[in-house]
Amino acid sequence: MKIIIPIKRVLDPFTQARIDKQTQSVDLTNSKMAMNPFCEIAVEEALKIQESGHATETIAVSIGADKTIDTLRNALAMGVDRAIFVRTETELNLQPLTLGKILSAIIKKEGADLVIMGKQAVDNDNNQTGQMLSGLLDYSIGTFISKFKLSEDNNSVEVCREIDTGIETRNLKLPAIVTVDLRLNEPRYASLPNIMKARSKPLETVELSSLDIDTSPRVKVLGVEESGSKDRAAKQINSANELFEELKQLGAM
Amino acid sequence: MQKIDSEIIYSLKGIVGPNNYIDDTKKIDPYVKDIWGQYNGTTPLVLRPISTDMVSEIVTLCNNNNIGIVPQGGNTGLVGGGVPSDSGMEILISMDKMNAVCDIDAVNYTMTVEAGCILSEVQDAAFSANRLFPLSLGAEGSCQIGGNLSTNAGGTAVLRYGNAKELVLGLEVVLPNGTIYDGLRRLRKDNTGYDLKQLFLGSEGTLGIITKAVLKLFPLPEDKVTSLVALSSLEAAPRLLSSLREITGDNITAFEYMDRACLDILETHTDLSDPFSEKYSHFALVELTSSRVDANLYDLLERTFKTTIDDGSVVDAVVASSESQATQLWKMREMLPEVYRLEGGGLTFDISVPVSSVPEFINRSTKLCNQSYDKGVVLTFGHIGDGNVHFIFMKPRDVNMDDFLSETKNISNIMYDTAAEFNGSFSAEHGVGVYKKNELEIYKSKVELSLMKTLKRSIDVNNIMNPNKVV
Repeated sequence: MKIIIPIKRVLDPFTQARIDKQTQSVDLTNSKMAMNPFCEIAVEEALKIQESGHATETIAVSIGADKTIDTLRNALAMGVDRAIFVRTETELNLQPLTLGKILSAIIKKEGADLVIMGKQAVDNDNNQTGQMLSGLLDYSIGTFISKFKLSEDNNSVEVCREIDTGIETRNLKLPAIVTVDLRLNEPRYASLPNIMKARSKPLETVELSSLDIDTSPRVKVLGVEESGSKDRAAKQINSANELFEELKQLGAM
Repeated sequence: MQKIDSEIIYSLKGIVGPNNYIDDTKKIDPYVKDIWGQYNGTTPLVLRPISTDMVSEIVTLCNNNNIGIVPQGGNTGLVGGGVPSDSGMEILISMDKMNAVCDIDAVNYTMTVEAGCILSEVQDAAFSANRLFPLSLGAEGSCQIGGNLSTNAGGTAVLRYGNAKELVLGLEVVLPNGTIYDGLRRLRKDNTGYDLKQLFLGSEGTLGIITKAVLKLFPLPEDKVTSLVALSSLEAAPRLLSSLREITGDNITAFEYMDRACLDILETHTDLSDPFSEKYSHFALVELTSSRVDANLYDLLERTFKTTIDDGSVVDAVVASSESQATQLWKMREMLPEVYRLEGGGLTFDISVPVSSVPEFINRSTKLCNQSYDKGVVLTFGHIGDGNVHFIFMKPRDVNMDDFLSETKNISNIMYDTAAEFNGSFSAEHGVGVYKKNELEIYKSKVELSLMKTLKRSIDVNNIMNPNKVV
């Protein structure tokens, strides 16, 4: 069984996002980038499945301009067998449906039965790509999963989903897509042997233009603003009365 | 016990005003003890001045009346330098209320701060101006910059940026006679006579009270790689450091050593776990940073690994692929001072020797200590990129502390003599305070000692400033 792990290169979640007022977007020039944390969890889970003998191959896929290779190499250094790099000419802000179409083309070509991916990327927080991909491929889907167990015969998988009312357990028939939540596992470090091997592992480049997919955005971004976290900074209050006063002033009472 | 005249106490309170002093014994308690409970003194009065002029008035009054003064920052020192004696004849000045960031000059790469600023707040203020203040140490959430400077604190970024004294351009100091030395210059070049600020950097408050400082800032690191490397031997540590220096140039910010015993006690007392599947014996925590995003640090590290695997220095490594993993790796190093105390504690030494001598020093002192007392376990970690070794001679679990201390009396001599043989220092970054006064007398040359005493006498004529500390 092949496992495909779509991963995304995002602005390092520990760095401050800068807004480019002219283009009304987050300015990524000279910013530190990293693998989306949910994707790291997806990679870890795929590697665990492979180590348990249930998977024959793990393949990381990422879409973006040349620098995206660094993120793929990161996945290879964690232990993934090979990588597919869907190259775009420039940094494009691709939307979930487009990403779903690109990934579905790759997954069909590879014939993978299991797709493990982050439930969302921490940059746009869309939380849509996995769901759309499942529609496009007609694969079963389990979202927000915090537990994952393949059946012995590799025909189905039992997942626990983190939902508002608690934990929901479902059985999915393969082929399936699972989108992972933070509690699923603790991603491993890149180890020295894997780091050394990473460079010689296969990394195939597919030009986005060769896939013949319409990448024009369907959602228009009207504006981007800084979150103004400073305005929401915590204030220390000495008594309950003071709290009531504050709340009254804010018009919350 | 002697007492400070009540009229003087009254006048001192008058200088700072009703909200800025503490005279309640219970509330004074945390100020007269150090955090590890090793020192416990007494004072009738803790003053918390809010301006340099106030400090100057206090000091003038004390100097005129021969009252000892203990200046205190965050009280995180390890050698009792910030704790009063038990004479009751010393008042304590806590700088915690002078905690303003006065100015950040991003173009000049400097910031001016008051002495009572918490180190992490100084770092944050610099960060908000897109600059780095690189001083970084375990106590950064509670120690104050005034204390860092007066003790010339070290920490984990010395390898790249130098220790506290190298991060200062100017100082404002209240001298023991109450006059204010205003040296708050923001100049990188200023060869106009003696470099007076150096007198107050590392002198542990014995020559004056630092009230403000101009600090050097640096470009923020934009790229970073953190790795825990398993080494084939202790001797491999300086070899790896050399290779890193050759290959990465000035990108190494940290090079911290830990031995097997460190990882074992971490696993016992914390939820941190050994990231390797095999039990290795020697580790280096390596961090590379660059202010350029495209510095390819990862590639440089990979290249270093190739060389050092080939020469047999490196046997395994893990590289953090996210900031949270990097934080986990650093936690291992940062938790050690706390964890070895949980394990039962022991005798601790803060030694520095030339980097190239570190392995030989550790090996020889371990052997000598074990010959003297064969039940002790040696724990070594430290900033060995700077030649700084924290050497802990652990108390065995089944031996009580008093017995341990009485049976290991000569361990200190062994350690300091061995350090001296390697031309090392008996106190690399923790200072002298009261704890190492004796060593200062033994291991400093007569000329150095007499020069120190001459300075002390001529600047602090009445011996009121942090009396009986250091010299």
